[in-house]
Amino acid sequence: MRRRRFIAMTGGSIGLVGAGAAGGLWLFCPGPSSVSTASAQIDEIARSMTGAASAGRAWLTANPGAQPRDLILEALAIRPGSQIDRDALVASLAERVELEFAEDLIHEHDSWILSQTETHLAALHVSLMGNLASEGTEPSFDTAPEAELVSLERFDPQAVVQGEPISHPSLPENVIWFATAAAPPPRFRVFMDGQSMPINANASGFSVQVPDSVRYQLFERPGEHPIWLYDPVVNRRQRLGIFTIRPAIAQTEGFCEVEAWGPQQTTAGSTFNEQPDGASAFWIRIGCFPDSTVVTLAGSEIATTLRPADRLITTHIEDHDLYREPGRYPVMLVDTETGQTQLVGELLVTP
Amino acid sequence: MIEDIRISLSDGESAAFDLAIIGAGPAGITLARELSGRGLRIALLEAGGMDAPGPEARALYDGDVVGLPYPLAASRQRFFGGTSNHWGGWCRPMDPLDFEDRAWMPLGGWPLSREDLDEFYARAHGVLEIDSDDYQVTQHTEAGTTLPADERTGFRNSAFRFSPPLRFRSAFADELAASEDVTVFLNATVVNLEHDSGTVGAATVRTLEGAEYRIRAGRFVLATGGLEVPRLLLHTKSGELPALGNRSGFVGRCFMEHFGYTPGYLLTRAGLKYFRHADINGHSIMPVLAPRPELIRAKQLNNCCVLLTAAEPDADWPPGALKTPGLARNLGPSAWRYRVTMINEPTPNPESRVTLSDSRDALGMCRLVLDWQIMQRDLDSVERTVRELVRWLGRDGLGRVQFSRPISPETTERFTGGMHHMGTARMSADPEHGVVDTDCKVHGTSNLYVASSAVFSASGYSNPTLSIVALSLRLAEHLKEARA
Repeated sequence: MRRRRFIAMTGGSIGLVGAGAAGGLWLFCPGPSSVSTASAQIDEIARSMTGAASAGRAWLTANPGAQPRDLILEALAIRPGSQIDRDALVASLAERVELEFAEDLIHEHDSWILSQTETHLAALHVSLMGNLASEGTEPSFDTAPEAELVSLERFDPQAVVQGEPISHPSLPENVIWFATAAAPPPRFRVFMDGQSMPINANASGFSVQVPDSVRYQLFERPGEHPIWLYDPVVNRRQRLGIFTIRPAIAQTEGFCEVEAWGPQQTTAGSTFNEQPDGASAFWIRIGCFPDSTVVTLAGSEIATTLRPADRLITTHIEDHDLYREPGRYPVMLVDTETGQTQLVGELLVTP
Repeated sequence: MIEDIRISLSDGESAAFDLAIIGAGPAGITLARELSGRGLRIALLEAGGMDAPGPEARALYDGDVVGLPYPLAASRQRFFGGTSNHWGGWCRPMDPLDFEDRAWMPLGGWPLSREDLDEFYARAHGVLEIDSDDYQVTQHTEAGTTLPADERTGFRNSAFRFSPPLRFRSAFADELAASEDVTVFLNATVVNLEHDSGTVGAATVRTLEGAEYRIRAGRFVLATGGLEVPRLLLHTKSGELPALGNRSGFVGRCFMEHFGYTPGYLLTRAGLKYFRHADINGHSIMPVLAPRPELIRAKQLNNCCVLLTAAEPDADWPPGALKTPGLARNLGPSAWRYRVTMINEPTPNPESRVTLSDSRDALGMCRLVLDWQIMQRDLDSVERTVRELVRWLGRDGLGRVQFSRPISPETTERFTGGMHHMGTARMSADPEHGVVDTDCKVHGTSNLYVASSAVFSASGYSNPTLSIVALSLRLAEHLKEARA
């Protein structure tokens, strides 16, 4: 049997009489500081509500002329001018709300199933607060505080040339991969330039597929763009790093000056700058080069990867016989379309 | 031993055994292991090989879907280990209520009680390497991580436990390879059963290369899933005679799936853990909320469970609103919004069924036609359960429900299941209302049994693998006794 409270009013004072779990009567005698009229107490509770504007406004619109305060007091069987202790009123309000759920005295607001009295309370909140009524807020990336959501180890790629696909040798086109210490929840989203993108999470991190719409938006502003991770549930965001949009290099018919390259020396037939598969590799730092560039070693074309976003050319040499004998071997850049060449330097091969 | 039938037998050759088990998934492998060492010569026939099949073999699972959308091919695994090759390890015995007759659910319940399966459930936990068989949530989880769902509320906290998940292929291949009395035949698709007067004499095996073999045995067990069991049984129809077990017309009928539904959100205590995590003993647990049997009986509901996932707040009734004094006095220090996912028990529905198509696959078997249906009363039950959640949380000062996705034709068209194929050879003591008897023997036959979720008379909401293994252990006991 649920416990019920009965509020008895005598003149301007109140005694609260209830039947406790053991069936005995008890008398509540509030201190004078917490006692005021029922109307004032209800108003105070209504004013204190947070995020009630939407429900209250909708109810008032649907019930023009209705007086939510009167409905609440009537539901609580309290006369508006009677004196009441706040705690007692809160307890009565709680019992009334619970009773309404038990008896399906409910009101639906935007699919929320609320008790009638709590809806009236929200309406009273709006009546009292007007334009200052407390609006509910949904989580927003723009205002989310910063927090560490993941322990980021690295991400790739970190740059793209204006107009080019985002590319990395081990990833599909336009995908950025983030390695993290633990799998993030799939609800996380990545933000770039105000655009939200879902993540694909797995045990070692997550990736995002950057849609063309985002890519083209980024291309409009070459430079550095922060990448953010956002958790809409806890409304926190984490800056993951910078993604760089490099200005497109004007189509060039020639090569820029080679800024640096290496390795420049090795021993005959042995591996240099050893790659995971046992191959040797050069790297060449250069600001511009034609799309049709290949690298040659002593006149033999070697596997070449062009990374204009990184101002880099890399190579892959599996055949160590190309430098089997000691000597100096020219390393050249060759534009296969025009035949233009540029000397990178000479690989010194020692016995 | 494990052999490729295409190598070990010649085209047209017969081989004889005491027992032939058709299907090397959790049910078939469990049976074979249980019966090994008992002086029986056992053939375990696997349609696939040891690894995932190629496109040609996968195409054997193609069929027509005429009811609710269903991943007919993707939900099956045609290689040694069967669906244990892709299951998630969720385990939970069915509730006692799931076995009972419930007047509001047509066709009645199981002709068994939960007690009849208890000892086999206990053993099945060991087979599946589940680290705990204790489903009492509040004793094993941190305080404050579940809602106070006592007897008065109509709801309770229940749980799933987890197998690693056990992959039967890697766990038992070596054991069966070393077995002297079990012969696993790979690439051995059974396309028909030769039978006479209710006794099966041989299984016809066919390969994609066109070879055909006969496996003769004293007893046969169909241990394929809830789609292939009726497919093979329906293939045994001969002239005017009904297919084996189909005098009642129930073969293929009552196809059941645990359909999921996301009705909306709860706003309640923060910090709840109705998701998979380690309990205080380090064992994997996933608490769920479920209606109590008393509420299910009183309101004539289907069994179901509710999972909660933390979600972002909603501006129309944010967590702060519920903190207003007097609105939810048992809420605790803070509120949170959670997405609600329900896993629902379907009503056995004869119109939800598997039939055979006129078109045939590369082995000459008729393709399947699946007409998965969910009854209106099942949808009503979902809605009424949500309303009971509303009542409980509001009445107990615990929270509110946002029923943002009420049932509608649009939502029902997008129902998904758990890839649990159940009920298509349902167990019934009465041959007029089912396909197998309480010993899992096909009605009207003398030596044909079924070890599969196909025999489920009702399904509750528990994932089926634990019950499949338990039923297989029980069938093994029966076969041992029958032999004795």
